[in-house]
Amino acid sequence: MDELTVKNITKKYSKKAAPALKNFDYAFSNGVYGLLGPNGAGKSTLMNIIVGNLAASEGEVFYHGADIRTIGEKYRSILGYMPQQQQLYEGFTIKRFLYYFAALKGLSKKEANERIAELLHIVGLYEFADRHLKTLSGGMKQRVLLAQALLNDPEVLILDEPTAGLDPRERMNIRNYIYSIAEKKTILIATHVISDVEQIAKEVIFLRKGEIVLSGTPEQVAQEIGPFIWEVDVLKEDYRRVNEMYPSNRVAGERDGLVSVKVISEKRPELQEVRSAAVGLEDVYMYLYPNERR
Amino acid sequence: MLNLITAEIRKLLSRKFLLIITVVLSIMLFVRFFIYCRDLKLFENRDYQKIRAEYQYSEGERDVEQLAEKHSIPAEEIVGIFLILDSQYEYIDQYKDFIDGIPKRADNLRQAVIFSGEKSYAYRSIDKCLNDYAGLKPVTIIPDMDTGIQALSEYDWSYLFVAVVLLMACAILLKDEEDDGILGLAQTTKNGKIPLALIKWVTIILFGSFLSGGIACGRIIIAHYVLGLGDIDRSLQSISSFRNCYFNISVRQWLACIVLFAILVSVVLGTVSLALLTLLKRIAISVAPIAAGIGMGLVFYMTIPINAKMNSLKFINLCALADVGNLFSVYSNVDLFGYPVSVLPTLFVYAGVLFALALSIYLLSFSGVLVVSLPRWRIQRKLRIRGTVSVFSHELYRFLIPGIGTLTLVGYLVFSLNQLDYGKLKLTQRDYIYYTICQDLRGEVGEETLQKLSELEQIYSAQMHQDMDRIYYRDAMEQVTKELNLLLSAKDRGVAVHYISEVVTKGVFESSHHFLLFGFLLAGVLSLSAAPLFSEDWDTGLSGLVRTTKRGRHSVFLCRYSVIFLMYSIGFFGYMIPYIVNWIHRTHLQEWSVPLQSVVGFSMCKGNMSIRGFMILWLCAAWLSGLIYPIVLSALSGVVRKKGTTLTAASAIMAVDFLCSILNFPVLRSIGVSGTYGLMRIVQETGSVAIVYISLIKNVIIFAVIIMLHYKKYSE
Repeated sequence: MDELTVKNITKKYSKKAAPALKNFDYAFSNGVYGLLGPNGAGKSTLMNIIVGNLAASEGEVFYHGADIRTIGEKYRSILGYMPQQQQLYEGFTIKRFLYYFAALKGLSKKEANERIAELLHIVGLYEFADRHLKTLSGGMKQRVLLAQALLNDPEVLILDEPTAGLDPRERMNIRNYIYSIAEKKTILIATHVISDVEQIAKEVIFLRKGEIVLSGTPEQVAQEIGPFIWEVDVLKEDYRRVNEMYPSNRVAGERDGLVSVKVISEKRPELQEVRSAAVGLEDVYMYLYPNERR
Repeated sequence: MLNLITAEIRKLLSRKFLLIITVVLSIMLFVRFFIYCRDLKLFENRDYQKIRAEYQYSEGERDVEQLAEKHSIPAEEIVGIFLILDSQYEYIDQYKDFIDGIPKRADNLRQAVIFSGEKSYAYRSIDKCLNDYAGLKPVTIIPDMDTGIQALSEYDWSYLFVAVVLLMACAILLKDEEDDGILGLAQTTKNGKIPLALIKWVTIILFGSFLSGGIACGRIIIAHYVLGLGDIDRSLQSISSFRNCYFNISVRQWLACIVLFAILVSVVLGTVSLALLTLLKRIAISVAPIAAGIGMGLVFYMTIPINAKMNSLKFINLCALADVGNLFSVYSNVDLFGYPVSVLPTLFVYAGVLFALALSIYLLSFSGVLVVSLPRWRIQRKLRIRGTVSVFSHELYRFLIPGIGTLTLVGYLVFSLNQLDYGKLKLTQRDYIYYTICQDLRGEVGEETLQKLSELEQIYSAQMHQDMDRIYYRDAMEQVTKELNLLLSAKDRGVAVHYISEVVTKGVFESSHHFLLFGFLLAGVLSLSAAPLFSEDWDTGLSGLVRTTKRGRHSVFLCRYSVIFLMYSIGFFGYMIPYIVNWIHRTHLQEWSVPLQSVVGFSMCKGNMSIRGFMILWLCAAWLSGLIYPIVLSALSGVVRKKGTTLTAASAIMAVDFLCSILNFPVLRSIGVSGTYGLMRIVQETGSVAIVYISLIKNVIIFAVIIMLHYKKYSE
């Protein structure tokens, strides 16, 4: 059975404005879901509606078949949310911040002691537990926020840019941990870092202007976009010409004076020795948002 | 350079929190001083001048009644002025003797200390005293209105407020910029070391000077307009309390000293704050030596006697420099290794050395030459993952620790304990006579009370021999008769009134201005402390996170309001209880249950209510009314969602409400929440006890509506 069902959600911030989210309809079960799209695609609006911070103009969100607005506190007790932000309570230490959220999540003292110690080890902040939040780097703050989201061992975990500001090692650790707990949880990750979800996502959802443009397992979306991704080796000095002809491209590597270029085009590019390419989520992203900045 | 200083000043002025604190506390200081001056006021300055003219030309003849008629001044006021003039003219004669007698007294003292030897501190002090007063012979004493000078001579605590504001300003210019990384960036530029340090120093000095100088000038203006300063070109010794002053200066010069010394203290405090903040890096650690220095200085200054062996601790102290009244009115020397040294030059040297040292430390540490590494004890401590899971405790921590809540509460408790008065009533001769009559008449008012009064009249008439006592007695009898007539009219309306002395009741029932001032101060400070509880969530964006948790809506809302209620109640009852305790101490308990009309000011009131009932209702209404501000501010933060805008809006509402009460707008003052604090005055003026109920109901409704609206908004 689907854990979380988002039913025809539309969100308009004002009557005249275009909808930030339009007829979003999706069913989530256990596993990791990647939510991808450029700025303004509606990712944060969707997350805020799912966590109950924002009321939808139309549609409902159901958890195990019950409207989340009706079950309120019961839903919030199985919810973990990590927003994308850097400002925390400046007067708090890491430990106090986590105990505050343990209190807000209704954990008992014993549960809080055990869980906070465990999570501080997981996010690598155990030795810094008494440090004030204002003295932390951006990456450390991200890890504190992730720890608080996991405090109540949530069944539904909503993560907004969970690895922003982390170094590669920390990013890998966090990604591995999320994957390790995903079996019994519904995890929704909104991110710009495609590699964060590419390896661990059960399904990915691409959004544009509040609508789903493509969704499915990474393999399914790759397969769907596969016919439009080409690869060609060109001389280094010729790359500028290729770039002008096919602006939707990306350099995949360089060897022996030849540059390997992935070109996104619905027609076979008019270049020599063009071949079909292995498709990754980054290529899908390039295909879906050709002229848009991330 | 000027542009950079202007930019730094703009940084300070753009901080709404600093501005609001500065403006609100300055107003409070002025209002407090105004009330103090008003309480000192016994008669108008112009009346004094008129009677002084008569006094000079008609010495010996004192037809008070005639003078009262001629100048349209109440007789009792003329008597008071005559008393002052008597003492002033007596002082003129005494002063000449005092100065002429110094050499003779010095000879006598030399005899007394002969066993200490000529090299002793005492012996040297006598010689120094002779020299100090040698230049004072030509001083002419001119009697004039001097109550304003006396008010200004009182110890001025405003430098403590300046110290707090300066520390906040220093933190803004140094710590906030350091935390944001801007300071580090600025320090890499060409003028980023000593020039930038000097620009910040000049900014702090200018800010502190304007603030302290402004407060000092404000106090002088208030003293001048409320009490009068007299001819400010007369010698300072013309005021009897400055008899021992050995500086040949005028009142004008002394007033200039008040302003200059206040500025000097702020310059030293500002430089020391900058030095400590730059050197120690952490605000909490920098505040400790400043607070300890001022605290110890105050203890030494207040407790060490002027002629004690260790009086150097008393006088080599910034707290002494703030006491311009005492510095010029008390003759003493600092015992410096057995040598007597004048206090003022010693203080200047001390302030100069402290200033130079602080400025050097500041410049050196700002430019990175002087670095102090403080040990981080926390890292060495064994880490324990233990904490509380009570939402209330965490919210209380948020209120107390990062904000100014703790300081406020401690300040209130100290201040309120100071209000407790178990001593005997301090009464003037006139009030003593009145109080004695009242004590004899205590009890239920009836026809027999009038009989008792006439008996007392006979007894007291026989006892009064002196003219002044007779005038006081007549005056007191007039007041008692007037009060009894008012109470009898209440009795005729069927109210079983009792006679209670006004001397006792005015401590509580005539303190509307005190309550109003206190109410605003408490509500204002509480509002500022409570504001971050909700608004910080919106400012940081954490509201979105808090609200997604299980207890992030109802419990958090309830706990935050509980913290506000608790802290406000501690402040409120902490202030009010001493008033009540003092009153219980002065009255018989049974007098609490007598009708409210027994308090003369309320004798015309309609409605049945005991004094106890009125006090309970009034306390409830006042408690609720002050609580509304922090609640309005919290609710506003939910709508506006920006701390700065919320604080500005709340300050504007408070200012309008406060002005309505102070300016006594008949309609608006009772609508305003602050009307409750001035409720006693309103009930007396309107004669309606029902106003207390209306006020209570009005506050309950406002209170409930605001909380409900806020809850609805918060939980949606």
